[in-house]
Amino acid sequence: MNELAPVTVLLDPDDDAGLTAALLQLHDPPSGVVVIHPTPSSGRATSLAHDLLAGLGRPIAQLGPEGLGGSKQAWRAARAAMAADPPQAVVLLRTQTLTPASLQPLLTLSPQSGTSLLLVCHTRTLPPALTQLLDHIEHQVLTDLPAAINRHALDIPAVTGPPDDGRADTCPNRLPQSKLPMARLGVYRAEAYRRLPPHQFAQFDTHYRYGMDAALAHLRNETGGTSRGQFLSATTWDSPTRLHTYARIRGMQAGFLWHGRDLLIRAPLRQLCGPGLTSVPFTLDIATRIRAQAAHPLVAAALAITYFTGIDAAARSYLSLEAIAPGGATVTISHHESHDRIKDVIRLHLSSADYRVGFHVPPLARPFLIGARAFLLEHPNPIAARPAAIDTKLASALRRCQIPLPHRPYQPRNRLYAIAGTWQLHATAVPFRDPIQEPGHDVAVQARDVGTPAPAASRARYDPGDTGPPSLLDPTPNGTTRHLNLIESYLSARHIPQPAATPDLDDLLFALRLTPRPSPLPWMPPNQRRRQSNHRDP
Amino acid sequence: MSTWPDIAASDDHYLGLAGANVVATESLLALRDNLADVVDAKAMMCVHGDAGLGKTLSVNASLRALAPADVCRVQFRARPTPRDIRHVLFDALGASGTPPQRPIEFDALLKNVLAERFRVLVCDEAQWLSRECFEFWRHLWDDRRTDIAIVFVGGGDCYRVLRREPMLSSRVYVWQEFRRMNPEQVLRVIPVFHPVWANTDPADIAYVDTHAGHGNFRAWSRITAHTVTALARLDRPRPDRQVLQWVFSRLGGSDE
Repeated sequence: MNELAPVTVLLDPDDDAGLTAALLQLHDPPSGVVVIHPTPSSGRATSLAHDLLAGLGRPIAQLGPEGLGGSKQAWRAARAAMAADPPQAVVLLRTQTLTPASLQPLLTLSPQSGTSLLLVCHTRTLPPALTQLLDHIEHQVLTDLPAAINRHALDIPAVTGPPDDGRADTCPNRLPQSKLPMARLGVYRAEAYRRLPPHQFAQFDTHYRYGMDAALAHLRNETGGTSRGQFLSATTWDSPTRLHTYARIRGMQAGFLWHGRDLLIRAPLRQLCGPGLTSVPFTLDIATRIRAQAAHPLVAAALAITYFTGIDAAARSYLSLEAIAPGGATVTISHHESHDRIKDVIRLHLSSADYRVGFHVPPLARPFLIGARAFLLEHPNPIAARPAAIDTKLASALRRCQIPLPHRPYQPRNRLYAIAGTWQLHATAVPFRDPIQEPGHDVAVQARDVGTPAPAASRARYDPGDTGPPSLLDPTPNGTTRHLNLIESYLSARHIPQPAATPDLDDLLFALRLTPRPSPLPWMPPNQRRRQSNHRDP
Repeated sequence: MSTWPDIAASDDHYLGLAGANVVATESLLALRDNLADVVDAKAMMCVHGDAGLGKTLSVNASLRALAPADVCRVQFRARPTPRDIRHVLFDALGASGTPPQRPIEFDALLKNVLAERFRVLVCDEAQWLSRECFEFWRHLWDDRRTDIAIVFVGGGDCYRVLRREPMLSSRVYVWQEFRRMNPEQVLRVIPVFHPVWANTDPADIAYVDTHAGHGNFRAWSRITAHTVTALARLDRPRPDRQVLQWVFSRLGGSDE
């Protein structure tokens, strides 16, 4: 496409109905071909902008309600839509009926978005007004439809489907249904192992490992510029249910523990909000619905952000040029526009002075943010750029999309509070006594022999009456000094006294994927044990 | 503007002439065949000819037989705009709600209604339409979702108006011109047209056609209406020259 002239004029001297029908059949926005059949409107400049927005799949019924009825705003929205979803080619029928004032913005827009433009004039010759417009634009005049189709590659469907973000192989969608534990990190994976049938545990463990591996990869490249919030949301946004997000979070915590760091969660899991918790996986269906229900690029972006973050932050707290990264890959939600009371709440729960939370943007949601940014770029004043009562419009669009957000268990006045409390890291990083090599950690889970009772010797080791706890620094038959160093670091960081050998020890090793199986004994709260432990986990 | 549901079969005739019959003239028979083809092809058709030759009556009568439930008939008297056509169609199609303000929304609504099921849109007095109006009809017809056939009916220079628009001349499937009846056709058709002429001397019918009818159905309807009145007032069983002279006097005088 790049070597082609950006503009082609196709003359249709007989105004052939067959030619119009053939071109209309090419309309397929997902494949990158948009065919505009202009609304007969006595040459109003606004109409072509509306037609372009409609061709790009935007809802025409929302043009007026969302403040795009005027020519200037309509063309801004059209430019934003072209930036968000740049088609491969735009075919404009009935070009001879349009005024130069209508055509000029489209001719300007085409090279900006890299979209080839096929102008169809159902006349014998090029209209004088169009000739004048094309005077300084490289173009070619054709009279043959097949030639025009070939020139614009209109008959070759573009690659369709969601952008590949590398998730397909690592994030299976088949998941165990519920019964997942709510236990603390040290025994979480072990409890799942003990509770779930083997095949369900395997599926559960996929999410746990996914979170852990993501954390390890993130920490290996910590200087790569990804903020903690972006990393956390990037790991959880496509989790199918809240329970599976818990598995990922625990996995991430285990990954951080590998590096002697805490991923501290300040609120109970059940109260957390955010991506993967109160959001919905951002699928092609959601993207399609947003396009069909929101005409204004800022409303569409707000819809997308609401879906993939799962928080109810005010639209003004993220609809700005500063908040949206140029590529649409990240968005930063700032509370500085929020209610004063919320500011205080956040201050209480954040140790730093940074009141902004960064979010990873799912690939399918990025066009909406790119469109919003393109729209904002044309508006020096973001307040003026936003349609009036945008939060009301957002609520209305959410209803029209008919995709309910998950139940939000905790309802502070601003969801940002919960997020800020959730995605927070402990400031302390405890260096290991000996560095641990990550590749050695991945111990396969040993298949559980359901029918065979656990060996008596194994039970005896954790017998509460047993008085011979091995020191954490002593070599053990199955472990290594490095493993114990790790656990020591973990416990030291939390100022926890080294415990005697308890089922927790095996469970913790299992949580870190250091042993193939956890303790055979079910976990019970420390205060219910004969030998009580004041061990705390995150 | 008038719409199909407003028009009863008896109103098809000029002045709603009581007792008048729809006569199977050659033009009407040809029109019925043409309309059947147009409906099958979901195409466009243009019925043109001078005023009073029975175009509208023939189209109405034919469509009552061919597609009685699918016809949406609109008619414009002054030079309409696309906006006028949108509003007329909105009413004629029985669309619910209030008419949208923006053309693109209006057209989307009309297209949605026209996509629900097949309809025959009859646009009478098409000679009054401007290029923008024809563009609007074409826009509806070209849309991939709409399921319509369009029949343009027009007198005067309708043919010339439509022919000069390539967008229509390339899309109209059938052009049919209505012409005046010749004397032989008049003698064959008029006795069937109305009972008052059933037993009339053919020479008197030819006399009327020569001096007032001119092979024009609308003129014959007017003459018939006056003749019925004259027969009642003069207490005559059938028209004769004296009755016809009285009728001619009401039509602006005798040509004798």
